[in-house]
Amino acid sequence: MILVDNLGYRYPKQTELALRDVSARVDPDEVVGIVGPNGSGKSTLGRLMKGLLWPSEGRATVDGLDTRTHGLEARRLVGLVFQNPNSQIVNAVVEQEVAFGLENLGLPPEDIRRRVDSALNSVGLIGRELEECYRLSMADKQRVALAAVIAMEPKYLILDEPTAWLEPTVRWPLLEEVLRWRAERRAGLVLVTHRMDEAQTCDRLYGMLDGRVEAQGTPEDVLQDRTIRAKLALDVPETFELAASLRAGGVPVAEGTSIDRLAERISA
Amino acid sequence: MQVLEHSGNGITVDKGEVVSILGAPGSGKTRLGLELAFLRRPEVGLVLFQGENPLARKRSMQPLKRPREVTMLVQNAEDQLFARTVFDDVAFGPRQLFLPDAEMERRVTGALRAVRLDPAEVRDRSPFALSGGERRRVALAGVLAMEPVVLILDEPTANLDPRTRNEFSDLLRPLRHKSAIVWLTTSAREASQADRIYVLGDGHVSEVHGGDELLRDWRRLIPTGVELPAVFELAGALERRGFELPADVDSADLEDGIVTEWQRRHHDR
Repeated sequence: MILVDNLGYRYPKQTELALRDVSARVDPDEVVGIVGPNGSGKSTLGRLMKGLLWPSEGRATVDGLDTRTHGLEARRLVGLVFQNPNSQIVNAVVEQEVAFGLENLGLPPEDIRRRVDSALNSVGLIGRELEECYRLSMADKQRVALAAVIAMEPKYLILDEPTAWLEPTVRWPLLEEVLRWRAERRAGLVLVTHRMDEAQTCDRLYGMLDGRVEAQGTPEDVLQDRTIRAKLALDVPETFELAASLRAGGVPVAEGTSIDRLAERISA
Repeated sequence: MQVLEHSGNGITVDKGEVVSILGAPGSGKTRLGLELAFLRRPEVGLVLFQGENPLARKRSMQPLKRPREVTMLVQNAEDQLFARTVFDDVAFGPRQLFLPDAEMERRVTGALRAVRLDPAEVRDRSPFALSGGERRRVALAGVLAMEPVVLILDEPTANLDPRTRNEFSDLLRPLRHKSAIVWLTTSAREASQADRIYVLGDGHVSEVHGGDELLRDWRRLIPTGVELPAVFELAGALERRGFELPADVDSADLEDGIVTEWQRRHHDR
């Protein structure tokens, strides 16, 4: 379990706290969403959970390991994928990038091969091991970044707005690959997002505002309230309005479900 | 009057009209845009500007010249801003035309006003100190300052948040009287604002007259993988599940059709 307890964080040379009194937890085998407007502290919280930043106040632990005193062990349990894959990829060739972390762990070559293949398979890049990273589309670059992290077989995976740079048509296929990988591994997933439809796939949500946890609970609890939705500046997808309009016409569909779920419900 | 023609796939652009080219990611929109802007040799056929192939005018020992009257706003164009001030960045293109100072001033301030930036306020600021949406507007001002006959826009609203996206679309409306606009997009809703639409699918191009017709014929768009308004996506998913929905209707009638069909099925039980 990732646990942050009464956490405060101040960036160097800043007087204001970027995070204040934040308590949150991520269990293994659950999907936790962190939502909120730009500058609310979503990414900072993700970095504290990974142990890239140390708390100024309070404590952050991963499976009981304090990120400050047992940083190396704690960080090995947690994988983090950034928003922009261009700031994460360092190797020229796809399989090199995915093998990079494993080589640094000093694993035997046959283990590296097996893990690279399995990671590339999870993100749908099998057969493209030898392509050059810089020639890939943004979505495929993000897949490579993701494969490099899941090859490390983390117990928890933090995705910091993984689809912000992607076009809508490639957004969901990528997320579904992550969710499938997570379900197989029973890993804990933290999804930092400002999109309503992504928030709805989570088991629990933390809504951040001005460095504090403004709301928490199931997506239904947090997103039902219109004023909270507006405060958290969520990007509301068109399906949401369509569902509301169909409900007004007497069709009993749930609020804001995906197109497929809507279709399933209507045709049932 | 026809100003641009691509003989390889029958795309034509008339003076002052807005044409959109609609295709899924990876369907070859950018390649087509570069060909129409004379930045890349067409794979098939020829591209003609005002009835001539400017690339054929080459005399011996003379470099090829692409027509300056055709400009292109590339994808994520704000990444290419480079000058120290907004004024210098917008002025970069026109400076290559060796215009007198007064004309230069007129073009740059005019272009900044056209993208709804206050020239007095932004001209001496660094383009890097602006927000993402503002930077993209500066990039657009840079191509407008060339006063093009044809302006090609490659996914001009990509990676902008919904509010900024709508602002950007509004901005383009008054431009159509000055230049012909070729708008490359993945969104059927955006494409439907154009006078004529070319749909890229399966490697060939088909022409549609007007946005109403485009959306009424939504069944044809589903296999192309372009982005459709939610109600059409839902209708497609329902038809795959055996729903019978009305043909040739707009989005409001289609939604009514879904409700009616649901009621009919519900009533039968």
